[in-house]
Amino acid sequence: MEPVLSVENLSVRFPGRAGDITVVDDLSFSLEAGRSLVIAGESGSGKSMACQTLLGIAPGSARVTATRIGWRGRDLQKLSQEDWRGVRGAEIAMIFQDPTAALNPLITVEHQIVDAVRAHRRCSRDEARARAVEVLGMAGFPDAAQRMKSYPSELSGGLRQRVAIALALANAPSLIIADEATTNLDVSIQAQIVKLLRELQKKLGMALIFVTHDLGLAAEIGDDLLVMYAGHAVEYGPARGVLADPCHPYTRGLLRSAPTLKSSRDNPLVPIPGQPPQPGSIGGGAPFRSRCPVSVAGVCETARPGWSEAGPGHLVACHRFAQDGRRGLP
Amino acid sequence: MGSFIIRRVAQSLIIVVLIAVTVFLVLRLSAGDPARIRAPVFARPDVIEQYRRDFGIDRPLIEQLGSFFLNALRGDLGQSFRFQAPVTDLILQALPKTLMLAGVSLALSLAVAIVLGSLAALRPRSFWGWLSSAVAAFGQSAPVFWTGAVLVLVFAVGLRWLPSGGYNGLSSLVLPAIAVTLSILPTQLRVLRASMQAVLKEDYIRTARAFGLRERRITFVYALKNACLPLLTVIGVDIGYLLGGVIVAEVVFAFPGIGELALVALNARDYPLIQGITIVTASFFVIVNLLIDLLYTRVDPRIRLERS
Repeated sequence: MEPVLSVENLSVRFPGRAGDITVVDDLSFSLEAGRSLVIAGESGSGKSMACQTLLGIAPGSARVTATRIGWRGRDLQKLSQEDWRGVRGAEIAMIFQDPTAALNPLITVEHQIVDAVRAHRRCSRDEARARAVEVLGMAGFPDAAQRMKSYPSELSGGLRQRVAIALALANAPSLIIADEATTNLDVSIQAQIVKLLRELQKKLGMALIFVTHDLGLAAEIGDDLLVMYAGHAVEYGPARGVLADPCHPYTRGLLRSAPTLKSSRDNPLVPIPGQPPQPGSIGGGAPFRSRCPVSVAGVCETARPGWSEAGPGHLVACHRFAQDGRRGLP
Repeated sequence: MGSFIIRRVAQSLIIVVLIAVTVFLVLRLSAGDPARIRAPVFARPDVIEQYRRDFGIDRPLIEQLGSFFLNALRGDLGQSFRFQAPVTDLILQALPKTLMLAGVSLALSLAVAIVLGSLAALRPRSFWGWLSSAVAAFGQSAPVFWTGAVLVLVFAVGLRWLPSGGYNGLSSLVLPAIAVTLSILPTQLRVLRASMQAVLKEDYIRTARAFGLRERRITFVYALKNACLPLLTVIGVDIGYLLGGVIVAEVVFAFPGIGELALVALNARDYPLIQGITIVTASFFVIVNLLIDLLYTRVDPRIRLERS
């Protein structure tokens, strides 16, 4: 099937005093209609920045380059300002990390959704209002017709996140990008929101990109999984396949360091030693080399690892794997 | 919310009363004996005594204060020495013109601050950014009496476009309003520019952009609403400067408002009139700040929530 979104060799750089700082380096992935992709990685791995470039809302100083950012037969890089505006919110919508900061405090929920609808559709206020009630209902916002007259500050965190979801649904986009959409919520509400997003995605046939630092969520929500480290894609493939058989030392480390039901005193969490590298300090080698227990001497320092195939559609960028296969992994 | 309004109104009333008492007492202590001021210079003691009885200042201070308040409640602020007319009438004649001058200046200043400040915040390195800094620096350094005099020289004496003073309809309002505006604009302009710059970096602006809203709507609705909150606070403080500026401008332009009246009253040591004018202008300041406080709760739902 033809992918709706295909990102080829996307890089994002910021000009710094000592040359450009690269926060996303040579990232490629694609997404078919109606499928979901989880992008996982630590803070600072470039996952949010990569998503913002898909909406053309990266900070003004960012230098974005890509061979192509294909979206439904067009290249997003070549859009005019006005065409961009037509894509944002209407074809690709985003749910932001912190709904408290992402919603305007002085404008009612109703008004914000109505504005989002009317930015793309010529319709009366009443029609837009009806649509607001409808999408709020889909997002599980109770008693929408009444309570949408509230200001964001009058709602709980969970409800605010439902407003953010309703806002994203307002124009029935083909792709929703959820940027750490559940990070600031209680675990129980987190589960509800994840379930809701999955259901909506299935029901409406949307594609979904779910950005998270929680690999545990990947299995629940993602068809595909892309693991990022320091601006680089290190492992990419079907979520089930990758999680069942993680082949990059970073993915393996990440899974071992996250608590599961099996964690216990005899089966303790193993942290990944060291700190993520400063953006821009990686140079030409393997991005994970400074923390990698199995780095290949003389190779990881100098050469950027290319993709090796670890299973059907399952790719891993690791010199150790390329050299020794699974035997060499920690 | 209701109790908040009642509390706030009650506070304001108390402040107005305290102001009235203070003005009354300070004038009694500092202005000298009004009977001696009014009486002919070499008047006999019994004539002076007669004046004292007429003004009621032969009675104890507390009694004077009491009757002053009783009269004030009935709208009687006493009799002007200089004009031989009720102070209330004199103030009511002058006040509308002053309010008009102050209102026009404030509106003009806010309009310029909002438009120019927003443009300067959006494009700090453009012509607008430069113009906004220049206007702010100029307005801050030029006192009202100087800008007033320059405006008269250029537009009244030189170009003969506008009257140099007095009051003959709206054209007389233009020059004094510009002079006052220039004096209160700098703070408002700087505050709005800074708050707009901060607001434009907020997440909710990025959200608005991410949902394809038009830039004009983002700037002048989504951002401006938030950026105006600090401006509202500044207006409350600025009312003092505004009244001061208006009074100076009235004197420079011989504009028949409260300020001019106050100057005449001061020169004539017409202390019932001074007293009336001080109380009325101070109350005006208190009322405006009360209104701004109430307006705040209308504009910002977070404050409404906090206070209810």
